[in-house]
Amino acid sequence: MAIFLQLIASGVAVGMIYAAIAFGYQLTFATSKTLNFGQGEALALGALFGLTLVPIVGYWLMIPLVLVFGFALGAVVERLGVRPAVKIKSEYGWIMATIALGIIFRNVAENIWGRDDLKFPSPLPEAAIQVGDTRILPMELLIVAGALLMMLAVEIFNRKSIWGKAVVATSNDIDAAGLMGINTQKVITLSYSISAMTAAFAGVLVAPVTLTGATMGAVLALKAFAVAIIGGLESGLGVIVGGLILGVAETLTGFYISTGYKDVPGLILLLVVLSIRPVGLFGKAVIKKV
Amino acid sequence: MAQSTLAPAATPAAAPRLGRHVGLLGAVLLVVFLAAFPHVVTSSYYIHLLVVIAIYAILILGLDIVVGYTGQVSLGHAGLFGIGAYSAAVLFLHFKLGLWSGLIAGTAVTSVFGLLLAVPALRVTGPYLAMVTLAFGTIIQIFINELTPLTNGPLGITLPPARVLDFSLIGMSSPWGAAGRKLEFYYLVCAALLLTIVVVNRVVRSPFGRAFEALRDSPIACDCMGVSVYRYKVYAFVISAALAGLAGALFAWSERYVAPNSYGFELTVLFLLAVTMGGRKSRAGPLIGSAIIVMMPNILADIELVRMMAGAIALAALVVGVRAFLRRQENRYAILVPVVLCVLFLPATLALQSVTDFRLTVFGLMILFVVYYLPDGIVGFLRDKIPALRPAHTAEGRVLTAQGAALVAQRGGADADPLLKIESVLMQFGGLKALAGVDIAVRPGTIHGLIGPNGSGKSTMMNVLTGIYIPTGGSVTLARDGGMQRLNGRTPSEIASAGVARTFQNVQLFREMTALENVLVGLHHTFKGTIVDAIFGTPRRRREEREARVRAVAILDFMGLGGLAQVEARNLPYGKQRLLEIARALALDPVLLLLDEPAAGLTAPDIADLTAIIRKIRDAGITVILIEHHMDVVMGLCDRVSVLDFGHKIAEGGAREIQKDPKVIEAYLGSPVSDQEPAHA
Amino acid sequence: MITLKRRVLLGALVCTTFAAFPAYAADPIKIGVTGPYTGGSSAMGVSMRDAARLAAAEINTAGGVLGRPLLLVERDDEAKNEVGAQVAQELINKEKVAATIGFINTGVALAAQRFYQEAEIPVFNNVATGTIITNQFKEPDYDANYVFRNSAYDVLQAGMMVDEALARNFKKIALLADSTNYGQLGREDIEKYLATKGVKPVVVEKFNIKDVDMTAQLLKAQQAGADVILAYGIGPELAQIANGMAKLGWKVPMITSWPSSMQSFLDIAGANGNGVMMPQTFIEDQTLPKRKSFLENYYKTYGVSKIPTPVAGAQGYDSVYLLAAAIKQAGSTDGAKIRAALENLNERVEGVVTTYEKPFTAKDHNAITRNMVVFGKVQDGKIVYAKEEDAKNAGVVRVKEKSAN
Repeated sequence: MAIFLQLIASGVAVGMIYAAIAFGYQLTFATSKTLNFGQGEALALGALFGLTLVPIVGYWLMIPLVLVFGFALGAVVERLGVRPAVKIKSEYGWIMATIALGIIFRNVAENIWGRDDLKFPSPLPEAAIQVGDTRILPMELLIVAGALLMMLAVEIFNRKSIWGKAVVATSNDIDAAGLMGINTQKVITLSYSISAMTAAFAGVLVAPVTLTGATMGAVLALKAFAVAIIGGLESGLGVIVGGLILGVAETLTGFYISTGYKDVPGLILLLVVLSIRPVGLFGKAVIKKV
Repeated sequence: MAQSTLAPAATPAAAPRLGRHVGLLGAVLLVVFLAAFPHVVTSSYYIHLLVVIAIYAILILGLDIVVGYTGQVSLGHAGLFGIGAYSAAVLFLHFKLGLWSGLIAGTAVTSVFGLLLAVPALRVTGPYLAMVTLAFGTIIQIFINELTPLTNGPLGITLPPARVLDFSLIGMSSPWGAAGRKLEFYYLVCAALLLTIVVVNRVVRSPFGRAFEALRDSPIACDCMGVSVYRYKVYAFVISAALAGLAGALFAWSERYVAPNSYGFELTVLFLLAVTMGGRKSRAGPLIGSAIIVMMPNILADIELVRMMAGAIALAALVVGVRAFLRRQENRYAILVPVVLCVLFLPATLALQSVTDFRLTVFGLMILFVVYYLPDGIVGFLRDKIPALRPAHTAEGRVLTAQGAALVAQRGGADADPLLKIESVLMQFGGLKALAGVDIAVRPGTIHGLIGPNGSGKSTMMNVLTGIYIPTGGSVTLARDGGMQRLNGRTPSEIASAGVARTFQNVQLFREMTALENVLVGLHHTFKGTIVDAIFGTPRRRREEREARVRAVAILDFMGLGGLAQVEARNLPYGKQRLLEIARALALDPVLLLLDEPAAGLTAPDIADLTAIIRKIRDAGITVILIEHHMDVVMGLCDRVSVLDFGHKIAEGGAREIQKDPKVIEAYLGSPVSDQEPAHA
Repeated sequence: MITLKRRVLLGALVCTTFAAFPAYAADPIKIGVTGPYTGGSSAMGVSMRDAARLAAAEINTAGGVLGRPLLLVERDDEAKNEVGAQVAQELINKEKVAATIGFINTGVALAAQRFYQEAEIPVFNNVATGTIITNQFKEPDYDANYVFRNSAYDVLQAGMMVDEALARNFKKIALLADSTNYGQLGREDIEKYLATKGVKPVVVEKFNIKDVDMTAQLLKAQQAGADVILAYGIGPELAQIANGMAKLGWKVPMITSWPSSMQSFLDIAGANGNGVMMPQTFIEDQTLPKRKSFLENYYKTYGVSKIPTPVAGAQGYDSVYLLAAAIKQAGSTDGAKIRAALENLNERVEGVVTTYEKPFTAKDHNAITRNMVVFGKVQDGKIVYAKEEDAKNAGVVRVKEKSAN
């Protein structure tokens, strides 16, 4: 039982990171029906940028700067990768363009920060704390808290601020929002900015536990996509549940079956969900209009 | 995207003949090139390079079926490639079976996996599909790595030199000596490539290829033409997978070492780049794309060459940019960023000692460039500039003369009364009742009008009748073969096959296909040939194609579109597009034709033509249900009219009675006592 | 359409061929250098390449070989098998190299070196350790083996790791290895060697490259009551094992394969890495003049204070000297003659790992023997000699044992 709880605890921390990135996918999908396939690189760049800043400004002051960086990065991705493709209504276009931007970011990051994975200084003590039979790193608690806090902050922004309301309006009906005088183009850019910002923040959160490097985001982003699909691309609660399911499934598979197959349950779950219920466990069925 | 609406009409007339010759000439040159190459360039390095290019080209030709023809983004082809390679290698590892068994197994096993991949892929498109295929590829890689007893795990499998022809079996020594033996594998790969080109060519020009394109351009219309989107997506995936498997098996025997980490994400992206960069929907495109991706690392390893190329690119970008600004093109600010980036590329390469470190950046920039400036690839670009290179759309059966009747006398059950019975149909979306128990009986050989203000449920009714929506309650039955056939609960393509054809309120043509091809998709039901017929070009297949084309031209003539047969649908004027939709629906040989606002957006003379055509259709024995807002059209044409309002049928009768019905007037103009504005005219 | 394809292809072929033969004043001897200079194992590849550059520059300054300068033709194999195979063919057929050094990744070596074997060009593995590498083309199936190596191969490392564990009286061995070719081959070697000692590991687990959470594997080891961990992997993942133990609050000694001396291990594991032991051919000390000058030269040339992967650097450096000596003895760049010279090298080659005296014979293509390898130990971010007697004898050059393996 102790082992089981230990595995669950590890799974929850990983799962919350997936949820945070998946949340970023949801933001852009809601406004523009597009996703940033380079989300993993946004995460890695955020973490690397943070790593450079920590010695200069300290850990806590680094966070707002990384958020600003992520925000700008998202705007660049939207500008270069998504907008031109959406304009020519090319689905293939934005998928390939965001993949390409991701590849470029990763390569540039490799050339700036090197190819080795680097250690990220932890703001909290690195010794694990004992809770009952399980041992938990303080950083893991920070990850869970940070991810939840960030999602909450974005939700509050969407509900309370005028820009947030424009985002919600655009998500519901982009044409109607446009007719109501909302600059939907700007709203889409904003959603990309917030999305990349959440990814960059997630990068800073995980970096002390994982490692910082140009390739740190690739696997995380794929898993997060699985989470977004499993939970439903439209459901905020869905990503948290999806993230936890996937995170826990991974650690359990790793222990009880084989660590080699650790990534399989998530991907299989993704395929099964898409075969049976493409809108996700928590998504609402959409009526297609002809 | 400004389009000169009718300009292409002139060129395709000339292009087919030239295009046909260019294709043939290209094929001959390719054969000569492949045959002569090892005798001119004897270096085994270049021969091997060409083998790799040819193997990739086989895969990319298959990928083009999925990406170019069905318009789906697959990130799983590296996985399929890996399955093919491992099928061949595992056969050798465990059973010591050689090249030929490997090729067969690679193709067969991978086809099965293509089928497996198609299951989740069927229900999704776009980003979902991209992720499904990516997940599939990742799973394949994990399993190859983990199933050590089967695949030898991360250690990989080493193969001996491939033995293509075993002369010792017949007690002979090789007639072309040891030197020639080394080339056996090369020629085998060349043969496989040529075979692939022929097969892909035949498949994409067959009804299968048209179905692939149709489901890309409009899945809904495709289903409503009786061409099941699901089934043809599966076909596309399986054919594509089979070719990927063949390529994989060849690759295993060419490299003679397979390992799990060779078939990852980067390879998949490379394949996609090749298919787009070379040019979708062509045979030359994948060949060019494959050559580029195989040689790219070699070129990038050479800094001098890269600098020269960067210079050329910077110059070209400068020219494009300056021209855009001089001509004040609308997109001049949009292209500013890439132009500046392209120009900056030159000093960047000059500053660098080696580009190897930035290989992936170059790779990414190439993708961006292709996506935005060469969306149709190199071949597409050349076709755009040189009309002679354009494909001959009607390559086979160039018959453009009509023969026989356009409209076929209707099939059994057409005289049953009523033909279509709609009984208390209920369609509920959440709390909203779009149709609240509607009964309509449509009599055979009539034009039945369906009118009502916006939001009254007319389009919902159309979608219920054609199976796009499954009604929450009630039943829809069609008189067929002496009995009544239930339509509700069946798929759109089944309903279409039962004899119900439709047009769409917002035009749903197959945009990248010519008018003729659009009608040929409608005639899909006349093709009985299988995929085998398509691949081998059997007499049956050729006969069916000829007959269908003759018939299609007859239908186009009937609709007054004969002169536009070779124009791509997207280039037709709006009015003609609407007529083409009707032509396509007629090709289905329906008993019942549903027209959804056919006159919307038409000019007065066009409407007059349309009215005459609809009458002729009715006179040919086809029952018509007409949704229309032009009251004069409705009143002039309809034998009987049903009026819907808020999901209820509020009136039914002859056109004249309806016009006087107070309930109808109220629905359209609002209650006489209230001050509501007229809802609609 | 297809005509154009042909033109593009030919054009590119012509371009690459043309660019490959720029005019050189003194016709240089081309040596291929293949390794991953990008991607996950690039730290090793780059250290090897940079040190090889130093060696070549030194040799050229001293007048080259056979009066001709050495020219290193560097190609990135990206640690990918198929790229490695393509690079091999390019180096052989296009660049016409006299020999090639390199290969960091065992899988790449296995995929690519058959081309050298077929072309009868010596290929010199200076980092990859898979035992099978030098056995791929052994007699009697092949007349001559063109694959040489100056890295500590797996059987050798495995033996040292196991012997160390058993010497320290550990009974319950947990064996962890990464899922690559490298890790799995190493695991096999350790298991085989353990079997000869009549020991069975209490748990055998694997982990993937880039894994950051080793909780599952370590919990299994802990459950099984392991008292020592033998780990076969590269820097970052080995570091995660050390970190994972710290997280679980479970500490047993850890003996790993050589890459825990990589800088990435030291950075990532930090204090958790202290005490981890690994077999090393080279420890970054300046005990010998040759080592001193090599290290100083490296630091100065590349503006660093530490070689990212010292072992890879040292072996890469030595491999160039060994090859140069063989070419000199062969008096030609003919592959078969260089191979023959390597198998019977008369010159004493002073390297930084050791001084090579008859490093190879026709049967034995491994230059490193067990006595040349010492145990290193992580101590506060540095690799030091794990054993006092090794530290004391650091200045003593250990030459090849006659009856080695």
